[in-house]
Amino acid sequence: MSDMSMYIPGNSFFHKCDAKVKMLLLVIVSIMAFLFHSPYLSGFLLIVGAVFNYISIGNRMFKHMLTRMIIIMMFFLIILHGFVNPRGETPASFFGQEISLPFFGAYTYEGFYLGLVFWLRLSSIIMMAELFISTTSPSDLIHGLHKLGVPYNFCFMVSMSLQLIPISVREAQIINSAQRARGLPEKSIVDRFKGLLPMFVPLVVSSLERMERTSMALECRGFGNTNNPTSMSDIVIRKSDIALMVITLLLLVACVIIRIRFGSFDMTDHLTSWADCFRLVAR
Amino acid sequence: MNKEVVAHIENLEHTYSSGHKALIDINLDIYKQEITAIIGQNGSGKTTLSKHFNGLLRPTAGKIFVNGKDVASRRVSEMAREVGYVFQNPNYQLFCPTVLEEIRFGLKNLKLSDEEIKARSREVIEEFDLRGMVKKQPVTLSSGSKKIVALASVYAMDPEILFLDEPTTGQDQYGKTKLGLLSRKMKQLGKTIIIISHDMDFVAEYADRVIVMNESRVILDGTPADVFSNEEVMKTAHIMPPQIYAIGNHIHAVSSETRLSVMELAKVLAEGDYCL
Repeated sequence: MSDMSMYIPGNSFFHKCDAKVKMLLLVIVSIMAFLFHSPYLSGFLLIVGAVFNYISIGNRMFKHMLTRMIIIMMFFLIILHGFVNPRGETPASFFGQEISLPFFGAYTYEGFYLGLVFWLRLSSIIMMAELFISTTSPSDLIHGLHKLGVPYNFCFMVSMSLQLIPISVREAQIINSAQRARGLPEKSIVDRFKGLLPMFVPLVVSSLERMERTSMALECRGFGNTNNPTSMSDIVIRKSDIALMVITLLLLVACVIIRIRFGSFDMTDHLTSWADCFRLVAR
Repeated sequence: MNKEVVAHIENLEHTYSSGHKALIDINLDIYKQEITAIIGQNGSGKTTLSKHFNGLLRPTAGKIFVNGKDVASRRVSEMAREVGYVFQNPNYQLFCPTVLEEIRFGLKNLKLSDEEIKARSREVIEEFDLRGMVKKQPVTLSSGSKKIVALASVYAMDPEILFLDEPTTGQDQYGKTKLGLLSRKMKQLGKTIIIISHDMDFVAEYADRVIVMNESRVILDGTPADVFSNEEVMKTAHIMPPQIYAIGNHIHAVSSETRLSVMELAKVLAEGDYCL
């Protein structure tokens, strides 16, 4: 991915949405995902997140790095947990057969259930983060953070660092070709590790030098004169933003009440078949 | 004139993954013991072309041969023996604690014996006049010296062809002259030098042959005098010939004299052998 900021420009509802609202949405989803020990709510949030993403960035969401991460995690978490989760007791039946690995034992219902819950929790948060990252331009993000009371200097530092990532990546590529052109061996993995030092030193030196140059250039242009610089554009919170905020907050309150009154819907101790993994209440 | 070809390029094309065609239909021969300069605007394809010689970039179409062997089938580290490449920014290249180790880095990569490494590095230090700074840390040197050290460390590997990417950027007159003289010296020692530059005065003074690139193609190829006197084509490539050539070109409009160095111009003017 050439653009490391992962921002995809567009004109959708979420693109126009205030960064603070999106941040709040992300926080609320993160809380809700961990509220229940059952796949249902986080699964629902994952689907909602996916739909929101599709509305905002269309087909590009399938190529997004974070979407790929979710799919890779699905395989790892669900398969690994099935075999290695310490709470696993009941061996799962695959058409009457058990599958077991040496050292780890059989694939268990509990492991599958916990892996699934864990995956859904993480991926619902990642999905919402994807929505946030791909619809919020770095400058909006910094602006939003500043509005929330984060000191301007810190916000500026964050945005500068984000911009430096692609520069450093490009620089690393140049340095790498410079060293390869000097005959740096590249046959085996050991060679590649040895090649890290010739890469690392020039990269650090040039980063430090650039930092110094940048800070001088900034000071020359009056940076730091005031802690509250004026901004070019101002984001307005629309009515629809407020509606979105209110709906999610209400949903959160409702979920918290359900959690307190009815518990976490944890099925781990009641699993005897595949169907049990998807039940809301124990038989 | 019968010149030995060290590199041969056939219908070379390169298209970046972004779809940008950086090289279109390049056909070139590079001759042994010549200083060849490649000039052209930014983005005309100079650097892309040069990176094909040691395999840092692979052709998307066409072929490139160095010493008669196809580059496509060989690794960059293998090519380093034959094609040296001095990058524009020496900071990207220097990383060792001392200048001496910097020079030896490439030699170690070539897996030479200790005696050979010692002998080679001594030779290079002598030729590049680095005695005073062998123990110094490359990072702390002046930018002119860094450039020389970077050049020396590549030269030490004894490549047949040496690429200098923008050698004169950020150099004062002293540094430029030093680099120019070093290029000449390396040429005399049997090297083929290819310079990528925007510095027309430097090119005019030291190059034996000039290749002009524009919009991914080679549009002109010849001696500096031939190239710089072709103002029409130079204009399309947005290149200004060095002033002495410009004067020569203007005088050419009214006199029969075509090729002028400063001395020649002075002579022509002194003899009054022109009509303005």
